Amino acid sequence: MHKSVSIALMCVFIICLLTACYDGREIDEWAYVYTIGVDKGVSNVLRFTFQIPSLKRDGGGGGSSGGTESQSAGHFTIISLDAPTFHSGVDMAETSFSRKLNYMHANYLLISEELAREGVERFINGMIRSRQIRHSMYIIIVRGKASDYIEEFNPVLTGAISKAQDGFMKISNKDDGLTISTNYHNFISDLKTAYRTPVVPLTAINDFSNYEASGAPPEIFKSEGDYYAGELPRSGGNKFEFFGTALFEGDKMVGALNGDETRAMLMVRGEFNRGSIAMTDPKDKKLRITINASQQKKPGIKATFIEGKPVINVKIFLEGNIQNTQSSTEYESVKLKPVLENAFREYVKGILDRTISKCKNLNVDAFGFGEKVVMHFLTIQEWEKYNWLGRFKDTEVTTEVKFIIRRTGTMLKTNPIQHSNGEK
Amino acid sequence: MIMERLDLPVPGLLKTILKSVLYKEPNNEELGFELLEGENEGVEQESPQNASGKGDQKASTGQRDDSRQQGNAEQKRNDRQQSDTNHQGDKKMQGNIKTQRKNFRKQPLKVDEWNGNRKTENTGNTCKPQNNSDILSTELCSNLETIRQKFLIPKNQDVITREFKIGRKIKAFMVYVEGMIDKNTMNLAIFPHLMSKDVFEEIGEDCPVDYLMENVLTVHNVRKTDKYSYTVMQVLNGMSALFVEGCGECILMETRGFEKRNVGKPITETVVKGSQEGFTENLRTNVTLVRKIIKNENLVTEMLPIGNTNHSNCAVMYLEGIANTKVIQEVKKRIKKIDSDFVLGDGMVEQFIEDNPFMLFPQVIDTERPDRTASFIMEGQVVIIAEGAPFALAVPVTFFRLFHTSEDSFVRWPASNFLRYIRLLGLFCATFLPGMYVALTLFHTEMIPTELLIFIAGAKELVPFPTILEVMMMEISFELIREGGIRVPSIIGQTLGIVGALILGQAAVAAGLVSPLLVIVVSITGLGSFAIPNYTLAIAVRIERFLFIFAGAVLGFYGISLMAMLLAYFACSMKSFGVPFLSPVAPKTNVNPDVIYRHPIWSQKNRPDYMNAYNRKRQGNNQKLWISEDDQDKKGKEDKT
Amino acid sequence: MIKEGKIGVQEAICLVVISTSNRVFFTAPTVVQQFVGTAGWYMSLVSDITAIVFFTFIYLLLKRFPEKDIIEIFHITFGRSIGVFFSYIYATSFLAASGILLREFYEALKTFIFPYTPISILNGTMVILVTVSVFLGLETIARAAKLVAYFLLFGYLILLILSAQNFRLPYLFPILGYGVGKTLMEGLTRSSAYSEVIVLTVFAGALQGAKHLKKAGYISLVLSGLLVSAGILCMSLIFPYNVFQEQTNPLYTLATLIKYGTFFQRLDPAFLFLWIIITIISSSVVFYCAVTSYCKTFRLQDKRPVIIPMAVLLFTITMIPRDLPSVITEYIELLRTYPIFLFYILPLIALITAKLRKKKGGNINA
Repeated sequence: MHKSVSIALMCVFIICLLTACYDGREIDEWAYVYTIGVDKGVSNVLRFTFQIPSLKRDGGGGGSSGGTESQSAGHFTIISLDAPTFHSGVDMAETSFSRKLNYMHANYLLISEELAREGVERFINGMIRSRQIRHSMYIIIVRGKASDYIEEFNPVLTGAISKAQDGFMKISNKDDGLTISTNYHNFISDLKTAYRTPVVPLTAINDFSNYEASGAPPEIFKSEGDYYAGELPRSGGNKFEFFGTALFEGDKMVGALNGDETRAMLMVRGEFNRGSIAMTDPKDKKLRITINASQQKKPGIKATFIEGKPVINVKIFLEGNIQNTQSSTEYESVKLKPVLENAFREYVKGILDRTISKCKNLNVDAFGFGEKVVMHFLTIQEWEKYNWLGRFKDTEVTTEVKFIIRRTGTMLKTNPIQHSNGEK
Repeated sequence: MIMERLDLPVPGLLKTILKSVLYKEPNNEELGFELLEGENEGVEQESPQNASGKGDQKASTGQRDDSRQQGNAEQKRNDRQQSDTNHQGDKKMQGNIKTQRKNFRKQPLKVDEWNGNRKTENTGNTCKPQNNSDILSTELCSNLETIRQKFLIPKNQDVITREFKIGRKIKAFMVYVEGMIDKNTMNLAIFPHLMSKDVFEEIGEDCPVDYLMENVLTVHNVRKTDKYSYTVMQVLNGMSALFVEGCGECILMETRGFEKRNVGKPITETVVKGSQEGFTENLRTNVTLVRKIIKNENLVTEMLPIGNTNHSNCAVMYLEGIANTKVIQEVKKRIKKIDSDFVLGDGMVEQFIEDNPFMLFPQVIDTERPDRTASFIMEGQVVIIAEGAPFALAVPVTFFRLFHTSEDSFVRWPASNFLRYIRLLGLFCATFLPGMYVALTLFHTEMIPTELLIFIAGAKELVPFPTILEVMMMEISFELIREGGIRVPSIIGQTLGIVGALILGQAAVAAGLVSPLLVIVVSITGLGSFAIPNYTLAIAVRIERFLFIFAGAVLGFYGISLMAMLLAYFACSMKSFGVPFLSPVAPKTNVNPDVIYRHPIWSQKNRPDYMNAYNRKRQGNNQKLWISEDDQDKKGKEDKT
Repeated sequence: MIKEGKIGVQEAICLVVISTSNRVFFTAPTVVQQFVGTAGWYMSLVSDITAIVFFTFIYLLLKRFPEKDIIEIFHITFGRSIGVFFSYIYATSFLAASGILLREFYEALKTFIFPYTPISILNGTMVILVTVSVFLGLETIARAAKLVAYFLLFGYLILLILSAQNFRLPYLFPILGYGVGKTLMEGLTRSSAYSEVIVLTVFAGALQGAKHLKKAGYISLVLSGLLVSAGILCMSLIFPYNVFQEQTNPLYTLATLIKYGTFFQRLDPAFLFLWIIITIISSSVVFYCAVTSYCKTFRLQDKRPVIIPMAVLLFTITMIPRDLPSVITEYIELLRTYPIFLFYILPLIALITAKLRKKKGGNINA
């Protein structure tokens, strides 16, 4: 017994020699990829870009200051290379580092619009075969080149890039609805099924060229969502923005929705959380009113077949608060509240109809109507034979919007501003 | 060689010159007392009384003395050869040694010489010691000689034989060990009565032992015996023996009064709420402390002797009618089967009686607290209290009981559950945390949040060691600090240890030896192991932790789960006195109100099922009773009004 | 005979549930999905019910021979020579089952966690552990199963509950999959997915009576049917059928999808413990059955000398398959469809034979 115990102990110590063999790798022997970009290749099929944080310390050599100071912001390196496939690209990239690339922590897969319009099938299946590509990784379409975009992808407010990456997606998804967040799993599922087509957030570099230093505001109404990514009239902040969504038909990107349309699409999907929606004052076309709208309950979507043709009836239930009125009109009053509600209803329905017809023209069921249609089919064979995606453009869609103003914010009543000439 | 050459008859001057030139081996053979190569090594010592090969041995001893005096190397070699032959001769005897061991007691040599010397000096009487018989002689002087011979008087100076005359008539003597007896009792209660003139007012001619016991000796516990061996044992235990002329019996008087520690606070099991009494090294006191709590006539204390040479005692305590007799029998059997010269304290008893000596987990539970011991007895467990250490053992025990503390039952159930879960968390951290850390950083980096990962990797950049070495370094230095902290005198030791750990951690990080996160991991691990209430279990966990570190380093979570399952399999195969170690969870037994989640005290109606106690019910419907009584009172009042 | 000790109903249930529902952790849901599409989650219930029906026959057989295990019953009913033949096939198929189970596990492990570690290292360590467990005996395995059952159940339910964030109800439609007929057919033929309930019959003696066997068998079949069905349901809610059919290990992929905020994501290695421990317990018990049924077949008095050679065999069997597709398409298919004859039909024949030959327990070996 003593002998066996000592043999066991010896085995334990011999096993120690095996430590970190094969798959074990010291934490500092990896290079962690934050962002992966895919472009159309020039000297090879595809061009991949990796954003990798540098572990170099600010203090420089020596390290006598100890290991307690935090990683300074924005220290990362970017490598772009042309490669036949993703994984061979990784191997190629590793030759220029002393590390092995670890893309388990990669949060963003950026695909350039150019490549997306040609089709993503070439790499989208291949990448996911690797255990290191997370199914929860976000997929984003970049207007312009992904490699250029990653150069600029250095959030100004924080050095914690991965946190920021999650943050952008969370904000857009939860708080404004101007774009959407799509992960690899959703993207693949939507690509391969007929329930709905994939919708991917759109991003771009904003070079601040739309920001004009001086001039007069336009007379016509321009809503807050009437832009695509990279077009916002702003200056300062991050040199990129997430705005609008890209639409896919098959594995190809066929079009894009702007902010407003994205909101409309989210409303139909039932994923619209809240957002401040501006519209013209029903009493004064020059003035604007903002409603903080949110979805009261899931939309009621009814799919029926009339003479073999699907008819879809969409009912959107919204509620909201008055956030801002530019006039002194008392929209809080019982008399005027329905006026405002009606105007808002009309406004939202307008966007909704516009979006649906746009999608129908593109033959893209971004709304997930197929998820309702499928309930009318019993077996997979019937469903696949019906080919829903091919029939979406013939579908008749009717929309209806319900809206109630619940609260008026901290003001119960709006009193006019007094002028010296007695005008109100 | 040189020595021999020097021995040649050379003229003086030449010899001096030679001496100064030639190398001379320093004569350092007699550096001191050397025990390692004694002649009797590996040979059972024999007592002089029944030694047949005694002369042989003696001869060799004599020879050894000679050789010492001469300091001659050659002779010494001879001597060693001789002792070797002795050794071989003795080897033949080793077969029946086991049977012999029980019969004799080890005693040094040369007793006869001493006795012989003394005899000639003394009265010249022809009293001979009773060498062959264990029965007391009726002759006082013979008894005296035997006793003196047995206690090696006068070489042995703390055994006192006090000769006197009872009632100024009958010769008698007392034997006792100085320091073991209470002097006041002797001086005030025994000698004055025995030596007073009017002792024998109504004495007859026959032996006065019974008369003395009935009328004279004012000691609370008096016994008589006619056996030397029993007498010697009792005298060694602190009693005093009175031998009277013409009697074949002696009187043993309870006069114990040796020095002992007072009952103090338990040191290893401190509680905030609850009793503050702890056991002492004295068996009697300990048994009394338990009896004080369980005032029940069914509480049985059986005294069993352990240790062939040091004649220690241990008490087996249980509640008759509640504890399972199978367990009692098994405990008694195992204790009786202990065949060892020296057994002291519960720690040694534990190692002799446990079921699986090769397992890491403890299979008995030890406590320093009488109240906890009492609660064990009340649960139906059997308690063993050994002389010499302030601890009691309870069997059988299960894994989950090792987590309970006495405080659990003294505080209200939400609090006790909270404390217990904290302790479980501590166990989890102490066992798995370093292993998990190693596995995470080597194999499963995806689980670490990205920002933290980058930070750890950045900190690791400066550290030249592989993770496993880093972890081992910290863990081993932590173990060193802990072990050193215990050895540091005074209670400050612990604090010093922790301070040392902090400083070491800080300095190690600053020096770039380890990454900062590791210091946190190691200190949480340490804290976790401090939270484990059972010391033996805590040590087991400390060892297991290293197994998990290795497992994690070799195969990540896969290795850790394999190791965990291996331990689980071993733990599941263990039994403690017939009770599976992991019951009542695996195997499942009936209602257990107190395993991990502790139910309120009034709902713990039954004793644990796995103990197989005879009386399962522990308490009635406490709360319900007075609630219903209150209701009845109200009803009564309503009826009146 | 071999000392098996006594195990309680609860321990037996844990053993059977763990060793039957381990399927859901590997490729089985994908294969099911390939056959029946979206109907997988209730197809497993159909299989379960079929297994319960078959188990009733087995129970009737064992009730006829109280305190006897299936191997002894074979010997009694078929006579020595045929009995030995059938029991030998039994022992062999248990050994094969445990080997393929382990192989399936290593494939998953190599795909997701240890791509570069040689399979022999994973296999060697595991086989050592399994061998130790068999040395320690049935009681130990059963107790260990009981001990970890709480953690496993908790972990499994937590995994399914946490993945609820990704559920999409439409993925369950079209509700009938590839058609009712196909679902029923597959359900019936794949009922041997629950064939691990047969381990109960191998150590029926340790269960102390047919009454306990009945209780343990039915409860564990119902429980494992529910657990497997719940698992497949959750996976179908997350993966649309044609993505589901692609997954090498759908449950693990499901775990990788869990994401709650920046910290609570990428937690799949934490759930890895479920995979490993379930495999350890189920391979231990199936391997134990292989060893004991071999010993009982040839009436060996001591199982210990057999264990190490059998462990070497287990190691070898595990190393036989060439690649992952062959594991899935050949070996596992073989093990999932054909045991129905071995594990269900054979006891049925034994029952009929016993009735015809009017054999009853108690009078043999007296």
